[in-house]
Amino acid sequence: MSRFSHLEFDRHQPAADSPPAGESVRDEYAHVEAAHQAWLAGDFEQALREYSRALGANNVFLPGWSGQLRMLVELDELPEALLWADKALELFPEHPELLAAKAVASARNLDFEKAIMYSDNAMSRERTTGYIWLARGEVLLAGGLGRAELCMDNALNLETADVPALRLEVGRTWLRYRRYVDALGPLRQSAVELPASALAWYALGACSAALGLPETAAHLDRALELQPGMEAARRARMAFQRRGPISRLRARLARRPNR
Amino acid sequence: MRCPRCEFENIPGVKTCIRCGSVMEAETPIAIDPPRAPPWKKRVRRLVRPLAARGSLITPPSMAITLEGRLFGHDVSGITWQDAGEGAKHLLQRCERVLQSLVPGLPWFLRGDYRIFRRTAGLWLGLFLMMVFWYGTGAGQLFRGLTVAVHAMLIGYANGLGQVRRWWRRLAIALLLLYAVWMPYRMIARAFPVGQMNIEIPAQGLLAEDDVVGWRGAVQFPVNVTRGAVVLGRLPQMQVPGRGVYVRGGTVAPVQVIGLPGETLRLASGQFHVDGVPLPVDAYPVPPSLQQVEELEFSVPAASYLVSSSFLLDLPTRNRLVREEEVVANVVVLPASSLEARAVLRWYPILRRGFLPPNP
Repeated sequence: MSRFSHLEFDRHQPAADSPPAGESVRDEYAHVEAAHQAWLAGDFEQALREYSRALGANNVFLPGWSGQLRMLVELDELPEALLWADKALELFPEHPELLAAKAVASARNLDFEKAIMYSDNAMSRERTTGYIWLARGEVLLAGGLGRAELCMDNALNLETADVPALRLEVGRTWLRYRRYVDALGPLRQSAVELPASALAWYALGACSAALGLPETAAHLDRALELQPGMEAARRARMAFQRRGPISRLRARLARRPNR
Repeated sequence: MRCPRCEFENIPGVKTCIRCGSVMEAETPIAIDPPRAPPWKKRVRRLVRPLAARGSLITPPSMAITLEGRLFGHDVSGITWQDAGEGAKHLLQRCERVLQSLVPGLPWFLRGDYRIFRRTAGLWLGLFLMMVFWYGTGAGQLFRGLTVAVHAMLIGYANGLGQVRRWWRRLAIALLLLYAVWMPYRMIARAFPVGQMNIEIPAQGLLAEDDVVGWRGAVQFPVNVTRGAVVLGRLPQMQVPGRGVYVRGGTVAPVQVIGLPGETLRLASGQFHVDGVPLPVDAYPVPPSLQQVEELEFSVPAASYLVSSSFLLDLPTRNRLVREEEVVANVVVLPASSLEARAVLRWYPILRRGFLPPNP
């Protein structure tokens, strides 16, 4: 070792684990943005991978943990999401967004008591975000407790919220709980606001299919055009083509408001 | 150092935020890849989730019940039960929970407590498999008892037996549960009786002292009891020929059906004959003690079967402590109602386990 080895010159040496030359370096924010784009494209697996990469860049990056949780819930891996929420909460104790995500996972796992408890805890914190109100709405919907509309409105009316994505989430939540008439408005608007999102078009198509609207095929085709490998959209398209008299009758009944 | 969560400016070097407790910089490596569920698990969860939605299948409307008249001599007019609908809902939920608990470990599976599910269902399944493996022996009975005990315990704890305060109440409920759970297991044992062969049937690969397992469901009178089939028959009361004593019956033992109702059979030169046609010896063996007999003729009455075996019968004596003699009953006419089950499995020895031919 030379005696000048500890001197600090203004030199730039690539680190051993840095990407090879020619490849752009992506920080955690870039990964989160990529994850968001993958989510908008309806590719939840890819979104989850991107959130994991974001955590690879910075393992105490909150949006990465929160995003992973939400993707696990999207992928219907609820016990895993609950487990992961506990782990995230060890790093960020009682963080409202993580608690809200855990409440949603519990609600979808049909554990309403815990869902309400986590949601209450999340709501009692200082800063409430759109997602926390959305989670509250979903918990109330899942438990059949009413007043979900108020929570959804609050989620969209928060100034800081990413409104188009949240509106899409609100529409998808209504859709999930078969409130098709309520879902149609936000989903139509989100398709206008996010015209390049396959998820938005698919959700709108699924809602239109449930209501038996003639524009269903166009919506689902648009989703498939944007994301040709979207299996759910392809299946929904085929099911819409083959729908029989019972499906038509169900759609007619679903069109009645305030069911 | 700024906290990533609350943006509080902390003293450099702290591990957690002083204000909100969040981790500032993880020194030890943190796992960043979440646990994943395999596709089959997701499919199973989707299937069972509707079962876990308690009370979601039937939701009674909210209603109020107002009583009128007298009940046990008391005037109950005007007493109103406001939450009758809620009560009915709770009752339905309770019934659903009890039904779920009948499957060992299912309540924990539906609740998402997979660790407890694996332990409870695994314990029960292990005992059940051991019970099946050693079926028909003392060890099998021991495992049956353990399986019943574990099953009853799981049902009890899934329905809140642990919360019953008084020990004698808990004991009484546990005993009742044990008895209730014992019943279906007893029915299994009754449906599949076990017996030891007394004769050798080479064509069916059965040796003397092989144990066979029968199935009651396989005997549908009078259609499917064919000639040559091994069935488990209940021995009737018999008079020992030439001795004038009656023997108490009731033993269930495997026998081979030789003669069908209404037939006349002849035994000559160590072979059975039906309508003059000899039956092959390896498929229809003659019991050893009858092989020296010159000639015998049997007529089978209606709704009865001629069966061949080697029953060992204890003769009653004046001194009950002494077994005086054993008499062999070789060929017996059994009424159709005494044929209890058809042998379907060669069970012991273990190495020769296998199915018996359905149409010998």
